[in-house]
Amino acid sequence: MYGYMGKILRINLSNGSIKVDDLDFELAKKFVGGRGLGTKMLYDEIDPKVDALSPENKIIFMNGPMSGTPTPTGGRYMVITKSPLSGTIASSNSGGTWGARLKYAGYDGIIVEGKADKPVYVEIHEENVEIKDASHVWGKLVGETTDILQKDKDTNVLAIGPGGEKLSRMAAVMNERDRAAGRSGVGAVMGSKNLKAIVVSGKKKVNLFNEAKTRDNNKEATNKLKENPVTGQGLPTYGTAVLVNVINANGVLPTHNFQKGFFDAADDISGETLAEKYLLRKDPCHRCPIACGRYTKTDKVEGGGPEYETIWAFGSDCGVKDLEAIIEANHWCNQYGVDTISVGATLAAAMELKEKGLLEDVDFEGHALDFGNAEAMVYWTKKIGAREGFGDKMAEGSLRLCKEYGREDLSMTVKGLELPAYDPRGVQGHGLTYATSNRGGCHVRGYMISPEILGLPDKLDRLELKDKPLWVKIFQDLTAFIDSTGLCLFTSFALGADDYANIYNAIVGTEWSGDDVLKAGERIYNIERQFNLEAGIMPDQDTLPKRLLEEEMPEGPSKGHIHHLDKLLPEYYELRGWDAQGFPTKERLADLGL
Amino acid sequence: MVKVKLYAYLRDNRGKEVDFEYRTGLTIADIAKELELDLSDVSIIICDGKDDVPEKMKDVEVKEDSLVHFFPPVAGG
Ligand code: SF4
Repeated sequence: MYGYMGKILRINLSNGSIKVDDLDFELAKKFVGGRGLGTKMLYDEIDPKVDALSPENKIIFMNGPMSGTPTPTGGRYMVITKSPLSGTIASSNSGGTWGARLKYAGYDGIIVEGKADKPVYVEIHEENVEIKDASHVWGKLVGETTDILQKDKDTNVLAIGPGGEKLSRMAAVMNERDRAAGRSGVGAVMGSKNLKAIVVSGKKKVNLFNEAKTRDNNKEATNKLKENPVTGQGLPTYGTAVLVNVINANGVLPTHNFQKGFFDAADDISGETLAEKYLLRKDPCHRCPIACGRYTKTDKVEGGGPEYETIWAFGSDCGVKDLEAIIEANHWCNQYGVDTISVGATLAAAMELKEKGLLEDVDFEGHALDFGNAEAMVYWTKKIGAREGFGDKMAEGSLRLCKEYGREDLSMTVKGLELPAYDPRGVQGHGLTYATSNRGGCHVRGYMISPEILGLPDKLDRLELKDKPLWVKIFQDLTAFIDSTGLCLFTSFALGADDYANIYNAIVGTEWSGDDVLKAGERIYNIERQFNLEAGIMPDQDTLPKRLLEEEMPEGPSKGHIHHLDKLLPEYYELRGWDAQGFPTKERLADLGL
Repeated sequence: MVKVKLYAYLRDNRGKEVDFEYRTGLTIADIAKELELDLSDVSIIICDGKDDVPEKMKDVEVKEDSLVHFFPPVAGG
């Protein structure tokens, strides 16, 4: 078996059993790995209707065939489980080195079942796997937990913080301190199982089908990444935050909880300002020549990040123009182990509830959650992490918060997941990906910003509807494949489906074409859809917040526009081979081998 | 006055913002030339709400109060 280690670790925390399953190679090839294979395993092993925070849910940490290989960016892994935030399939991706290290320990993935009766962590050194008492690290922040559990530089620590322990529906799984499988509340599932951390070490090697060809492929891919102006210059120099200005100049930088799409102080919180004032160094993931990761320092904190999405969530969405405060909020999210996008977006929703006079009964402890109040934004970020005071309510996420105050319409979420940093009223294709993403409001399931705003690979008119459903489908399918390989999605700014097929073939020993890559992606997309349907997430949830469908953008370069989902969705369903109501047809599922 | 905004490394030696005296027929290509900006280093140009690649934008004539943004190839997510 090439590319894969051939072994899946199965840990049952209820009875303490540790087993090693053989990987089914045919199944692996069908679903690739990572997001695809993990979803297939979860779908086969749990009832999608299960309560996400019950012992019956499982959490799977899954590598792809390229994780742990010398392929550029080959170190990413996926966390797959049922989401406690949205009730959909959750698959959260993280970089750093932990995923690659799990391969070096000899495993493609880990399935965690049941629930421990007291806090535990798992320690893996190749064949030696132990479930250990975690009482000395329970309650501790992610940084301190990592310091205590990391024995040497060849050990990698994945952990949850107090956010996960206290079952915040926005809790992240963290690795190497500040790399996050951030979205969908996956950290709370670990917390619900009393699982604090997974510590991994090992020195095994991944066998490659054709080493010489892999070397050539890697050289070619690295050259393409270096020569491409985005992956070779823009991302390495400024990180993802370089987007702040271009998104704002198009009038789609959500501001004040999506009440508008233009932020006057965008340059104050931009990647350019970050690089000029706070950047200490680049902070790349395992074997990554792009190195978009930032390591920053202010007078108060230092550490990894912040990313563009984080800057937007705590910045323009909360009306905050103080970049130091944003860096601090990012730091506390990493320490408490909570998702920066969902936390920032929930704070913004609370600010709008307060602005509308709906939070009269809330004790703000002298830190009024008003748009633009940077100090209160940081204060309540910590309180969400610790689930204290009003922070306890906000830790349930924007949808539950807004519902409690009778204003579900103010929650900028899709299927319960907080929307990220692009207002779909000015980017029509991107709005369709939000509405149809299998994990809810997400930007990295089909990043239409690339063609609609950045002109990659071609520039599309961002307001045009024609052909957008087809673009969305292709982007979603390609992304599903990339997410399943162990490579970073950012490679797709420079590489295409044929490049991925070549890399996969040389590592695994297949003879796939670019079309096979897209078909595998489509298969993965459909099994996620099936999981959601069986979980009770029906096609009527393929929608956007009412504000974005009905209220015209009030000002800025996208003024006067709404999102035209009703005009895009029927064609999208048809292209997917789903019926007019949005259910996959038997024929299409059979065609995909499902 | 035509306002021009520059981003990322296009700011090097040029600053963030430059004001241009308006004249009839002034195009985006003229502005780029005066800024010693090679359009092959520019990925996206936005002028008064219209955004496109340099080939499509270079011949656009600006207005007296136009705002023009020049972006190099950037991305993120
Ligand atoms: S491009 Fe950025 S996120 Fe992707 S692997 Fe490299 S450093 Fe990590």
